[in-house]
Amino acid sequence: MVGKLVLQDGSVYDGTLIGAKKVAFGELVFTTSMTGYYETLTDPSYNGQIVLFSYPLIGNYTASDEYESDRIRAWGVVTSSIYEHSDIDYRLRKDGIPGITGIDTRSIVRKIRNHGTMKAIIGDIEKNIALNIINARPNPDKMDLVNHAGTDKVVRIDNNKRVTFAVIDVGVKRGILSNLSKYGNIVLLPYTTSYNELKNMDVNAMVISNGPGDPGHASLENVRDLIRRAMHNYPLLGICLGHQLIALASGAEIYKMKFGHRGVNHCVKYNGRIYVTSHNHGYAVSSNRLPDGFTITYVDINDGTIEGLKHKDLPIITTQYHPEAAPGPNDTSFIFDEFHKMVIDFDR
Amino acid sequence: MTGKTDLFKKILVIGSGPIVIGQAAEFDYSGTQACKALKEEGIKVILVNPNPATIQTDPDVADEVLFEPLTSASISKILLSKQCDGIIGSVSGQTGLNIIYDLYKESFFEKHNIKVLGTQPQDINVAEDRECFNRAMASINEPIAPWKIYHDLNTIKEDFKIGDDFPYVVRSSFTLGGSGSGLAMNYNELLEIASDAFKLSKSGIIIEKSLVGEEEFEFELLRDHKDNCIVVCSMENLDPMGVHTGDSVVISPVQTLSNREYQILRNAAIKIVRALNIIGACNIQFSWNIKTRQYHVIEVNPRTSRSSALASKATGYPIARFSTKIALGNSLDSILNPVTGKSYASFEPSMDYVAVKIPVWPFEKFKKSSRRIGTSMHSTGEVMGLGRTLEEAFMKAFYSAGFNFNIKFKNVKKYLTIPNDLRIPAIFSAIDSGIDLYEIAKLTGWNVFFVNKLKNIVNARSEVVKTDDVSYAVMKKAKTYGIGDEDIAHLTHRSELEIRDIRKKLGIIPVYKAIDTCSGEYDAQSPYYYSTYTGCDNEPISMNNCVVVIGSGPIRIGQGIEFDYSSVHASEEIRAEGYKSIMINNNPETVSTDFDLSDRLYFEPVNFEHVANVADNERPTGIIVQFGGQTSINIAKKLADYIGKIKILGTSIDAIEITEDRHLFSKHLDKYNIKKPMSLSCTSSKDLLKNAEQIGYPVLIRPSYIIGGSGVEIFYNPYELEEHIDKNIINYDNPVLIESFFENATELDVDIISDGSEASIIGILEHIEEAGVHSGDATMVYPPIDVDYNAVADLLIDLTKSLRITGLINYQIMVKNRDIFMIEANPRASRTIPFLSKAIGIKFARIATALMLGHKLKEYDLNNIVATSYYVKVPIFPFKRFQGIDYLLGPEMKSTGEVMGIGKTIEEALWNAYESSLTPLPKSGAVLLTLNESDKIQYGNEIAKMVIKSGLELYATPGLVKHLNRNGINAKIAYKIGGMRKPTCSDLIKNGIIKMVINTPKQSHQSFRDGYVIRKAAIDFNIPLFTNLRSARYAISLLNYLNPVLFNQ
Repeated sequence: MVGKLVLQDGSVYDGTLIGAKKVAFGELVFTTSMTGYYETLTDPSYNGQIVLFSYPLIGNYTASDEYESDRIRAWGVVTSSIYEHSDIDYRLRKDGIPGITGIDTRSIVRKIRNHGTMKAIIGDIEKNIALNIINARPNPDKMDLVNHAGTDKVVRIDNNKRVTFAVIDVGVKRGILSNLSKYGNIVLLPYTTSYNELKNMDVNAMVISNGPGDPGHASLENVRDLIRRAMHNYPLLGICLGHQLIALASGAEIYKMKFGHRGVNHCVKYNGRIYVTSHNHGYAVSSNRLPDGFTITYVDINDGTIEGLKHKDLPIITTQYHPEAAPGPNDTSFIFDEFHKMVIDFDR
Repeated sequence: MTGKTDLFKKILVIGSGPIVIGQAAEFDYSGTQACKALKEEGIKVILVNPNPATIQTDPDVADEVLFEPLTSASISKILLSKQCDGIIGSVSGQTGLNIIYDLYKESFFEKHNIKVLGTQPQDINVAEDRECFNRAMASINEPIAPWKIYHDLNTIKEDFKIGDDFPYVVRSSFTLGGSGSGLAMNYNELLEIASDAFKLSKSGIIIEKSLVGEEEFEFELLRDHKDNCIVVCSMENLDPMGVHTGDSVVISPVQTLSNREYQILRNAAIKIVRALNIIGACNIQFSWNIKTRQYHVIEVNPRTSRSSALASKATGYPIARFSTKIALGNSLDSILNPVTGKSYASFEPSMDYVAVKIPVWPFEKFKKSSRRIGTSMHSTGEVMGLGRTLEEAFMKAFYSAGFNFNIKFKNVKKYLTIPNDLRIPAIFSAIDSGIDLYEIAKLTGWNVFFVNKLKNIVNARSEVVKTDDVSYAVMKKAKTYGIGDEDIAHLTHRSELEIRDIRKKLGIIPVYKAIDTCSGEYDAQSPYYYSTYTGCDNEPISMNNCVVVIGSGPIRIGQGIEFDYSSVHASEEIRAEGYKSIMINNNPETVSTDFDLSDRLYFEPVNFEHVANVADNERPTGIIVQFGGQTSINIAKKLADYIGKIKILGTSIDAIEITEDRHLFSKHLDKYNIKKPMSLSCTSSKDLLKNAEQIGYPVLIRPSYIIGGSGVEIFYNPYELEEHIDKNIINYDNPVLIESFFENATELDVDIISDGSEASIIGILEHIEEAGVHSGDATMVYPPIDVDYNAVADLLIDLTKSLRITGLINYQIMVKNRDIFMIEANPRASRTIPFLSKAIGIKFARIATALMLGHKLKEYDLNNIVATSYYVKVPIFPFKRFQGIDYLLGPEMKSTGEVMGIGKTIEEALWNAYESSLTPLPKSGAVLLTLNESDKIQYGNEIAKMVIKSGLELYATPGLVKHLNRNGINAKIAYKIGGMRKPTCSDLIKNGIIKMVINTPKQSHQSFRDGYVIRKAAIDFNIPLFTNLRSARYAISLLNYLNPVLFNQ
């Protein structure tokens, strides 16, 4: 069925609707990853966003076992084409997510590159109606996106290890859990968990996961508070949103990027070495007012964005990029090893 | 730039060498990039490369260019005499690596304190020596196919038996393009391939369990001294294991692997590159079992390669250039990416399009050869198609490679099952005939994903067939799936122009997208574009004052790198004249498709539809067709008619028509009283026989509009002609010309430059072989040795003026008994332009371009060109790769490349040229002489005496020995192959006693068995073979060249 993709700036793209038969609204972002569509679509960090794939052939392979959460989390999907025999259309319908295909995705990438990310609508809808909705509704990242992104109850994953990680689930990817599982047991905690609740659990370290939206959102105050209380007593690992939350809780400034980093080909630099990493972030930690005790570890080689922090005295490391990849290269999976060693040292 | 660059003052770059199958134009591209990268760092560059047809050997690419042999002896001498402190051997394919490794083994570098840049020789050896490699992989737990090394045939016979679980792969270390390797389907084949491989391999051969039929993936990587490592490009071979990657359809990026699977291979690739301590570029090939989802490591090429050239063009990421910077000690994070101008070399390119490579095979030239392809490479070149749908990219490559849908297959499944050069049209045909797609996938070994994609194309074509008037939906779908206007026209019985008109009225026009390495994430500077019919956003804004150069497409026999050379010069001159230059080409291997070279590169099929589209988009001041070889000349008229106000620069279309149409040309020559061999045009086979009688045998037959003399043959009697007619389907759509053939005439190639009113001779090249050998296959000398050329020059200058040639024209002339005959005229840059440019030291293609842009000949001082030395061009043949063909020279071109020799005398030049050829003349040993009856009587004694005088031993066939004995000349007997008496010719060749073979065949285009076997033995064992008496006599006269006492007598 023919439909439209309407952008905040008024531009309209005609295409063929796929997935659930309803209107999608969200912040339109693009990823330059050429593979890993299942991981991407199911990544809870995309909650609130319409994902546009710059790579024009989507759905070439079927790999539903590569889900990063229980369902598709993006609010919409935009592609140039979808393989005729792909199950993506079916999976979108099943999870109630609309999409559109037959779009000149590159032209939108170029537009976003110049104007920044925009709100957008997908659907069988008049342009004016779409624009009214776009203008009336705030950017989804002003919403409490984490509320439905992570777990709402405590989940224990026993891997028969000595160490146990508490993972504050603000939208965790399975990739992070499976990497942590190599080193320890996991207690997955809702983002509403208080410090007292944490203290009563037999855990050795705390991990703040990735997740969607603005790290400064009011709904995340509990997590920031938790971090402030825990940071002196537990080793901390923050990934993506987790990295931003740790920084923010410690007094750093956060800014929204023009169009963010979404792809699997960004190089970060640390100690004179470079690493190819997987990125998915629209916010970043500002280098303007870095809190005392924190030093920058990884930086993006091209735009200098802070991609990792560590604390001089406390056992805290954070990465803005995704060491668990999924999708993307595994070049920095040593981060989990590093953190594990930190936890062991701390316990000693 | 931070690095260790100040360590080096002067670096020797091993150049590409002659174009051979498996080592072609890609090394001109990567070598040129390497030289440029070195010069940017302020380092003096000494380039050694005997191939004059390359951009690399232009005077401004390196500080010094030496046309010397690519052997370790020659390179070591130059390293010392030029006092080089470093050497790069990783941009010239296998040859370069072999030289580096040979010198390393002699401790040469250590002794003379010369540094090898990039991957170190001991590490090269681990990657290249199959045994070391297999052990290295085992030590890092990377899976490889079960294998064993063998040093003799007997052990193989003990280990294997009939009925074993075949196939097995035979591999020889250190060979290029897979020669000396093969897939053995049974015991007998195993022994056959193994004994062939022993001839080539220095360190034994490996036999391993074949992974034939599994899928194949390739990765291109870069690693620096700091151990930073990135994957630049991933590629998926459509043809499964068992087909050499050079002969496989390749697509980038990888399409059918999930992220998890892709990362498994990527991790393995990085692990391997680190374990092998690669510095710079590296290619890794994996096999992939689609059922078990398991991989094996196939091989590693620790250098730039054909694949890295393809990857560079597919992604826009200049691998050879960065690899060279890394070799100098720079790290990936210190090198700026010139494509974006903002980001660094350290990232992994992201593509938002698909690149499809299709090889181009020369089987049309080797009709008797089996068309089967396998683990040994047979293609001479390749094309790349880019698109936003896979179908679009595939069809661009399909048309660019010269394929169409006209072939009818009788037994299509045979073509699916056995890999061959017609497999792509066969797959289309099979889909069309309704064969189940899974069966096609199973028979071909292609992933069904790709068969499905081809099915989309077939469907879109059949929708076109069903439609009466082409609707928007039908047209849009056809174009989205890459179906060409010409194809649609054919299917709807309309003309291409009508379809173009309908399409444009429907508003279906392509947009152009940039190749920017980053999928649009950064604002790129790269002026590198491709078209798509799927988009809405056209990126290049049209420029004022631009001129389009049409490139020459894939490297084919007959249309090789020489044309790319001229195109590159045209683009350079256009920029120097203050215009913007636009290049259109579809060949990923070459310098012309380096996006740095032109103001804009349109990577598109070189056909009417796409050139006209670019013209519509850019509205250029003019278009130059003269440098694209015959392909672009063939579309010149249609283009001129279409573009109207836009000028075809240079020679008028009318003049092109006159020279290209043999009938018109004959009439024109008559007007100027220029003789030509008697010729008649024929429209039927009956005509052919009748006219042949009238002209008198021998006769030569040639169709009009030809590349490299396709389909040209000589017939000595009516029986041969009748047989030819019986066995071949001759196309009489255009009249076939039959002409008298002169025996023992001398042929000249004459290149002339003209501004439309004045004309000047660039150079006259004399063929050593008599007329009848294709000019691309002839040994040529500049300046001429025997012919007084003043008369020829005057005549051709007048003719050129009469045609109002603007730019270049090439004439092929025959001289017999002082009579001059015109053979053909080519109103374009010829194959010999680069050779003459290098010999004379003037870039004629650039001047020709300037003339097309309005300059006058008198501005250039071309009247007093005096050759200061002799220059000889020796062709290089691909005979070894083609089974069942004969190794004779004729009017059909067969060579793939050439080398140049320079000397103060003709002998010195010839000697040097042979030294640089792949089969240098022997310095000792024996010569085998086998002559046909008339040569025996006429020249037997003379040649035999010359051999004896040279100090080499003489062997001859029994009949010839008897003849020589009667005349008081001694020679040893070499017996017939297959006979009872020993030693046979092939024994003597095999045992290394005979080092050179002279074999003149019966005067007929048919070979006779004995001669064929001798020739095959010479080819198999890499010794010089002369089948032409004239070149043989020259060669023998050189045998004592190294002995000054004898030679100067």
